[in-house]
Amino acid sequence: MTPRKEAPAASASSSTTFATVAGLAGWAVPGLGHLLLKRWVRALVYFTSVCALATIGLAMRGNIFTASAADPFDFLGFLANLGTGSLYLIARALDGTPDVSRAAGDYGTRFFATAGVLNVLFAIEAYEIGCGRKR
Amino acid sequence: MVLTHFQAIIFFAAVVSTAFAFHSRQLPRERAFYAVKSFVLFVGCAVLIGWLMYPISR
Repeated sequence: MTPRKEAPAASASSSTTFATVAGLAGWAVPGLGHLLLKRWVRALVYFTSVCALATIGLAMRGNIFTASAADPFDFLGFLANLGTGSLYLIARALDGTPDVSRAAGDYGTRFFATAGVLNVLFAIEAYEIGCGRKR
Repeated sequence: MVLTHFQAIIFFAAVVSTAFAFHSRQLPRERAFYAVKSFVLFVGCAVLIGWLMYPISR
């Protein structure tokens, strides 16, 4: 008896759903999307790089932007920070005191924003791998 | 934590170059080459721009 094959439309729908879940998981926790897709090495590298940038950014007393931004650049900073997913919530919960009066604090702000932008890039990659558009 | 400018660019270049290499290349050899090239360009450009701004600071 031969196994029944899924209808192509149902298979495509389930693949898109899984890809969306992988993308959202990758945004929420860096590398989790690739972990779900069994890309172990990439998951580890992405988790390490995003967490390292975010942690050092916080340790350098970088600024973590909030939704109540004073100007458009602050709002862009908020969007970049939001890209780190759960790390943003942790950073907000830690409630550190930013100090951008020194260069180190300013670098910390950029490090955390870079972590967010990189994480969004990796989450989109997880979605594309789930869809089969990328290896 | 306080890093010097040079330590900050070294850290940033190392992390971002490695992440980009895994994002855009598939084979280990290609990834290594891309990461090294990207790292050298990041650090080299930062040093070059730093020297170009040197006359302004004086």
